[in-house]
Amino acid sequence: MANTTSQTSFQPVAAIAGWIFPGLGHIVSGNARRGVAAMLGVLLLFISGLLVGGFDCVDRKEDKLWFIGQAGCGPITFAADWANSAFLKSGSAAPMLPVPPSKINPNAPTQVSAFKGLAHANEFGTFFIFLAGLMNVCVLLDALVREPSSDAPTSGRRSGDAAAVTGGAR
Amino acid sequence: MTSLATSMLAWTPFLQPAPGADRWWWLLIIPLALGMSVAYKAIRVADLREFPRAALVMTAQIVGGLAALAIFLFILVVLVLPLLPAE
Repeated sequence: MANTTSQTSFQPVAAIAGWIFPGLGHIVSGNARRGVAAMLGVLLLFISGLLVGGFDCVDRKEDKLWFIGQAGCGPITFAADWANSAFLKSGSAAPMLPVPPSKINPNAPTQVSAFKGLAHANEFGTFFIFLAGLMNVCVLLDALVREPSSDAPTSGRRSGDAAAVTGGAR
Repeated sequence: MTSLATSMLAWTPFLQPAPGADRWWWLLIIPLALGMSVAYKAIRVADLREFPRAALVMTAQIVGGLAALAIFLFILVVLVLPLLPAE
């Protein structure tokens, strides 16, 4: 294996910025084009999920495990959860409909919004936003170790992809 | 299609689920694959000039791979398994 001369940097501020908004970590560390590209990918997944399933796809209380993954997108996920509570669960956007009591969960709500997503729409919307969160975790981990103002790959990664050009080949 | 168009006119984005998502759910694999590919290739490509092509190729690989898997499973379940003896 060829020796690589590049050093792995550590940029915690970039990682935090990347969680605050997708792609922002790369932008603040000087890799703006890469950050914008990553932002486009994560936001495409996030907005597609909201369009497919509506705000109901992000629910901190009812879909707690999904929400943990979705929270990788940062504050925009919490904003979507707030919008779910403010517009759908409160009944301000659509009338509330009574539902039969749950035998499994005694704390389940007895009324749901008429706009609540069901079946594929809800499942795919939830999954899109979950994937957006996971992809953003990958993006912010990359921002954590990427050299500032480099727009070049870091060392110690898979051969044949980014590591093939380390060591000043470009 | 007419009912879908009517539903689209009455749709409130972000508040209501997308009309037609229950019927055309399998088409959602395309934006799903595209979003994953764009985010992944944005941090993986060495030279950003290769980024658009790399993202499109990865999207095609994901969609093509899933389509091939679907065809294989269709052949297996619908054509091959019924030929096997019941006992």
